Amino acid sequence: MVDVNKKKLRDLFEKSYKDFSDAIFRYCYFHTSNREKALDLSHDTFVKTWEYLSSEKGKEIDNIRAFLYRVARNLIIDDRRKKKSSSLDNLLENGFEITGEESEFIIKENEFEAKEALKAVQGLEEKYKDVILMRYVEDMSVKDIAKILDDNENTVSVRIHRGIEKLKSILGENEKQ
Amino acid sequence: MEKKLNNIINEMKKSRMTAVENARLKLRIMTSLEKDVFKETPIISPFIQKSPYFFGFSFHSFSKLIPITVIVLVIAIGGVLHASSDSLPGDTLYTIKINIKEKIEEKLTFTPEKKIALRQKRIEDRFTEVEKLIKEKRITPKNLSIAQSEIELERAKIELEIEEINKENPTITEEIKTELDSSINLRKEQIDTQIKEESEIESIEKELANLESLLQEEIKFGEDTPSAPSPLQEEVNKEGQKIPTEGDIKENDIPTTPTKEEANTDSSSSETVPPTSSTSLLDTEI
Repeated sequence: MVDVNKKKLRDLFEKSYKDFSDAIFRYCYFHTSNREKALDLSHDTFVKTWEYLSSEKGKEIDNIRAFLYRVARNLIIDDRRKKKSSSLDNLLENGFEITGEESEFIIKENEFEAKEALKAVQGLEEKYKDVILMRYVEDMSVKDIAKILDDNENTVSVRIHRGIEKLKSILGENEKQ
Repeated sequence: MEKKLNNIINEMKKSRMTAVENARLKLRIMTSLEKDVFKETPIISPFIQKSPYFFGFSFHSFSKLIPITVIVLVIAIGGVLHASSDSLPGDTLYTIKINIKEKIEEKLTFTPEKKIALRQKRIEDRFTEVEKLIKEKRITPKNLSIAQSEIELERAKIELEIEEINKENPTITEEIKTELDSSINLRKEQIDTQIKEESEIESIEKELANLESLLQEEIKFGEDTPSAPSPLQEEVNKEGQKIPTEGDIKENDIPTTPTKEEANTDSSSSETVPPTSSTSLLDTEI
């Protein structure tokens, strides 16, 4: 009986890795702007998720996608607390350069657009960045986002709206420069 | 501005891990957790990869053997079933043909009409099998009884199927019955005549073989002692005494060249009837 349950869990975990590993990596990457760090965080996210899944509490998970994002978000916050010195704010102050490593990540045909995207997203505050990434990049519903952020749906909707406005203004500023 | 925003979001959507990064992440997760957390191994060097054509005797390799064994079994069973389709009553594969192959066919036929058609075809098959046996001179009472019992069985089953249809359409079922009976009787008659013909041919062939052997013996005997009469010759002589053959008549009518004996008898006869010159001979002796 135990083995059957374990097999089911393994299938679920394998499927969630297949479906969401890129999305989690992307989410971590746009928060940290570092591929290695994003890989570390993705690794920790999946390891923690498996540990939770295989424990008694694992039965309580009803939306694995929301759970993964929640874990990833908590890990990002923890990491940010640990390394305040190398925060994104500092990065913004010093200007953000896309290194050779990043260029691998970019679709070369639209290199300019990709650079712009990174720059614009890095300019957003964390609370707006979260909702914009989830709503527009990962196509999540407001309900799911509210669940991940442990917030009210109305608050999330307002935040999304404000986030878009902010992003537009950043893009406008970048254009002027 | 909207277009630019859309472009940026699209670019963000496109971003993902490279294949190497993905493999690295998977491997790291695997090493951190239980090794069997993923069914497939992420990166395996081709140098340490096991050949798929070689199987050791470890327990793990047995799981690989199972699908291959299944494939081999399917091919083997398929082969035997295919081979059995040409078998005749009395053959080893014939029981497989009757009990497995035809049973499978039966299971795959669903409506009673189609089942009747299948059974009629089988009856015809049994008759052709018997014909083949006759041609190949392998017909025995045992083989014949096997085929007969199969035909009877199919006939009985057809009647059962007919009863099924009978509930719906009794006129058609009567037609089927009469048609079936007439065709079976016709085929039986054909087979009987074939068997008779074959037996007659066999007896004639036996007689011919006997005569041939007698001839062979005669030839041998004739080579050893040409004057002594062979058993065949004796037989022929006896018959010749009773009814003179054309050759005999010709011998009597047309005189042939005289043999030595005949020449001798001629000379003796010339002694009894003295010629004119014989007195002169006597005279000289005296």
